[in-house]
Amino acid sequence: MREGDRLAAPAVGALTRGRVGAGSLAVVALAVGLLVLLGVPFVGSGYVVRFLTELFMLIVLAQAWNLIGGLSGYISFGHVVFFGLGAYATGLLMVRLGLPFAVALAGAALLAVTFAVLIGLPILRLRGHYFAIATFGVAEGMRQIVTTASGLTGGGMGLNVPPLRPPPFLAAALGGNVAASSGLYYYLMLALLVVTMLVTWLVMHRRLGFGLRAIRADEDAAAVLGVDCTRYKTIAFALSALFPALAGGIYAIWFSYIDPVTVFGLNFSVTMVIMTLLGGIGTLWGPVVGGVLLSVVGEVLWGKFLELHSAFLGAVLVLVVIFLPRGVVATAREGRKALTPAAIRRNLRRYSV
Amino acid sequence: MSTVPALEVRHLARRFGGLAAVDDVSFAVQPGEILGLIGPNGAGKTTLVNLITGLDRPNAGDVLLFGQSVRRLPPHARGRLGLARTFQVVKPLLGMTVRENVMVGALFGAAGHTRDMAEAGRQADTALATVGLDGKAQAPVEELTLADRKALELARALATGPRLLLLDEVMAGLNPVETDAKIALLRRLNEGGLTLLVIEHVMKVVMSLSHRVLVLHHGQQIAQGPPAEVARDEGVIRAYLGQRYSEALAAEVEDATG
Repeated sequence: MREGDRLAAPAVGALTRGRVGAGSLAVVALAVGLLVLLGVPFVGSGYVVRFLTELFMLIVLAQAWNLIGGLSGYISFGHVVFFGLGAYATGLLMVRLGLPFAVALAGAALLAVTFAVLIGLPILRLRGHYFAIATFGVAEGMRQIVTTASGLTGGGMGLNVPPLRPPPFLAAALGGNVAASSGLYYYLMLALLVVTMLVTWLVMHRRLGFGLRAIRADEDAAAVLGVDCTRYKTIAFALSALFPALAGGIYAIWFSYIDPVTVFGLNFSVTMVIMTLLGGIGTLWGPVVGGVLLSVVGEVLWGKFLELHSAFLGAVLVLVVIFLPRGVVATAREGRKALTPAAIRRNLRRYSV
Repeated sequence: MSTVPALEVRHLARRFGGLAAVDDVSFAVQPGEILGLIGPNGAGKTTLVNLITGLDRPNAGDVLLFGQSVRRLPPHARGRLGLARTFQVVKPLLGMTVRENVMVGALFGAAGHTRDMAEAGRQADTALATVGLDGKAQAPVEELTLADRKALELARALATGPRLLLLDEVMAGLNPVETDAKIALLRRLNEGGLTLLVIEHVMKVVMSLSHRVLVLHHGQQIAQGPPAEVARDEGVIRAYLGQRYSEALAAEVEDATG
């Protein structure tokens, strides 16, 4: 299954080909990787823990974007709206109603999914540029609303969110290597990342994923084959809203302070797109690879050229679109031949207007 | 005993601005029948198929599938009733393999579609073997030739498990040997109980395959009947066939059908 391959975790791609040896190897590799990540707060510095927490969050956002942008082909440029909604709903439910974090987070997730369905029904009828513009408009509009409704949200002054008290056993276990609260947010974000990856993998290998890929290719053909395009697009949009909302909720207690410019910032929307494109749109590991590359390189450049950081992001987007339109994952699979001048010319021809 | 037609089209009309692409067309396809639909370019054949499948909406008239009006049903709901089609301008699902393309049909098609991926894969393999694409199951669809893409359209439609199949020019671009093989395949499918509406430009194909033929011209149906009769119809000859071709064809049809 070549396509299955492209989408699958290496483990399952190998299993479906019947190469159980390679498959179990990949499962072992994944398990080891996860164990290493679980161990980081015990040995890593506060800086490393913080860096990884943010990386997990960005990968979650990119992967969620990938569900609607990569699998279904609906390019959203305002996906930050769900992150912002999650952050504000969690914060407000905790501050104004005094709800515990878990309940507030669940409420925020429900709100974001409901909002996605309501907004998705009209705007998912739009295609291409029009959908992108509509999503951008929704995000900017929501930022304005949250800024204006200062009586409820605190407006442009932002909102202070009570931090979460880490469970005593965590503090004991970490033994002071890093602050227990850092460990808590790290593990929350890691758990969210694992869940996001699992759900994405499931979607890609189930009926839903096939329907979405058919929609991406040709909605008329998909409809005639029996795919309820409106329903499937709405489900994908709702799922792609859920994970950013959860990430936003965790972000709110992690930073203890949120403001509209940050949590509804265009930067997040653009970063999701760049990470996914860089790694490989429509693939399971694309957002992971793209997220790691962009964060590591970005972190290095951030330290050296603070002012030019955004220019760097833009340059990456341009270079990726020209040289790696299908991302690092697919390109690496094709090896050196994907980077020959002929292949690059072919990319330019195929993906230009 | 009267049977419910697999497809019934009643006074269907579709206008694009001042142009009547389909103009008061009525006909029925009985279960087990092969109805041929012919007409010159621009006669309204594909518009008619789009109206039947629900990709386009009529200005007037009604479409009934297995006795049920589907006027208000979206395309996917019509598919679930057992209607499938191929596209004249092929629509391979890019970014997927040949097998995955066909699996979409098995996963979403008519009643009895499966949710089980392994079962969908098996159904896809069966459909691919039926059209002779089994050797290319793992290929990305981007690599298929036009003839193979036409075959893929058919395999994908078959995988939905249809009761009524609309074939929009599946023969176009095939050489004579491939055409004969495809005709034989369609006959086999029909003998297996599948009702067919065959739209073709290639007159010979329709005439030798169909039980009845419907002729469209400028959106209007100008003749309907058994192939030999239609080939001799004055209106059809004037509009479409030409005198000499008609005589040759009538002789050929009589040879073929005895």
